[in-house]
Amino acid sequence: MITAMVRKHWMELRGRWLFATAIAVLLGIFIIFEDRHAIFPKHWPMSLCLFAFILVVAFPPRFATTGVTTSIGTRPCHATDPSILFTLSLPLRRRTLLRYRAASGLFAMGTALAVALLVNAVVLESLGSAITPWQVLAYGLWILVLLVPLYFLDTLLSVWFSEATIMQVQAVAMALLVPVLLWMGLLGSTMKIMAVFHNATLVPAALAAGLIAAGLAGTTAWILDRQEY
Amino acid sequence: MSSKQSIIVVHDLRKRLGSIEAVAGLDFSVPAGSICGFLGRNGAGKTTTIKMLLGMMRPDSGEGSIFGELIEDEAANVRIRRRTGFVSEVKEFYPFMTVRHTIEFCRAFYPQWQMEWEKRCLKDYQLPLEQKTSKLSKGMRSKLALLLALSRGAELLVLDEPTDGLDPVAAEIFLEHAVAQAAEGRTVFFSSHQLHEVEQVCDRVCLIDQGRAVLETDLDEAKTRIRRASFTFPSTVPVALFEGIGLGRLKIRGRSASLLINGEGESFAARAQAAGATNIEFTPVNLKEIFLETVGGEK
Repeated sequence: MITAMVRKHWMELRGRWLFATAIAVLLGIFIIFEDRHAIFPKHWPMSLCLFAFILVVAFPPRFATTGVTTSIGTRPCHATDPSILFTLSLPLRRRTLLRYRAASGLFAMGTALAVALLVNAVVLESLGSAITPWQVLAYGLWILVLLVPLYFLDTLLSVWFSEATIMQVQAVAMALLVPVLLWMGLLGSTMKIMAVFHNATLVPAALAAGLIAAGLAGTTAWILDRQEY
Repeated sequence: MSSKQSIIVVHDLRKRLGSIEAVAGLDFSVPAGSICGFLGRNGAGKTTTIKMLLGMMRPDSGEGSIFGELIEDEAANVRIRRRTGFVSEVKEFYPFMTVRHTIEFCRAFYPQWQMEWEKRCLKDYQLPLEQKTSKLSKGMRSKLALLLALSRGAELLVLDEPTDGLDPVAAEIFLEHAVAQAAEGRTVFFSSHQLHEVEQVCDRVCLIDQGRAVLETDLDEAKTRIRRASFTFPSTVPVALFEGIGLGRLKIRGRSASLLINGEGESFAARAQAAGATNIEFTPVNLKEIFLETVGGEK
């Protein structure tokens, strides 16, 4: 049964994984090259923040869903995929479906991010950058810390909304954040962005993200148990 | 009710969907080993009832049990689903899987999976194993849904419009399969609008209207008991004589009247005769007539 679920999730996610990884790799390389022709490597954190911004918008909704619903495409405003009754007829609890699917999506998202960062680290090194593997790892972990709560937020939202709707809303929300960050003077200064990443330590941030994610996952499970189809 | 043990028992089940009471105090039972047709007009509450039985919806009140396990208890409902083959009204699968993948996926959840039934269905329904389910026609999706339900080795089959989209040949094959499954000791509970199919294979029917059971009986018994009584009166038809009697509505044509009666023929004939009726006739009816009279029109 576990093998069948893993196989189903692999089939469900493999195309998304390839697409997301390819986009992240290409985007990273593009940013690195662009920065190199400007004042590289001084501005790299700014580029990497843009990279993170795009990942935040694009990654979690592509990988997150409840397991009761299946990621079947990007049909707008259609939360309940037609295969939902087939899924619910399986002899599994809804929480079990959620657990398997959330773990699979998180694993897929994490590995896509890892591959993208690895490729970008190799490119940076080949360009003679001073960035160390540890910095890349810390950066990757920071992105993961940002992505995990969003991933579980999107899992919760997928109870009601389609993938396309979540992506659109998330992109608009992130775009609306830009003026706020500009107003705060954050986007104008690479040093301030760096400060955001480095002043706070990673471990407390990860713990906070973990708590938020656990809360969202618990809420999703509670709602799924009461949801009617 | 049959003296056999009941596999499905529903008592005073209620479910409101928005402003509509989709299921309004439903009572029925399905004896073990029977083929029970679950009939009603569109919106009568059939699918809502089936969804409640299989844990997709929760009843507002009332009770339901399958194999003696309460349908509202999620853990119990998982056990129920393990022993039940289900074909839903919406016959959709994972679009990224082929027919073969879908069968293999489903097989993993049912240790009692019956390979001989899988092979039989594959042969009879001529399913294209390597085709993506998203590319299947509606009829082919119905066939796949039937294969998955019939091969499961389930003790109970709950089938919601199983022949929807099937061509007449495939529908006939399904009916043979339903009978064969019942012969192997399984209970088959299926909703359909194809009354001739129900009449062909069912030994029991449950008719529901506006969320309530209006007739629940063995089909042979129904055909024996339910008859059309026709009367001719010398002048106008005394409508009051028929009030509260029979199934469905009284049909009046001039001095003649007819009504479906449920087993009360002799006593009613005597009353009608006393009221001056002549030319009293009782004629047998088919399931379609019973359905139309019971749920088909204004009362």
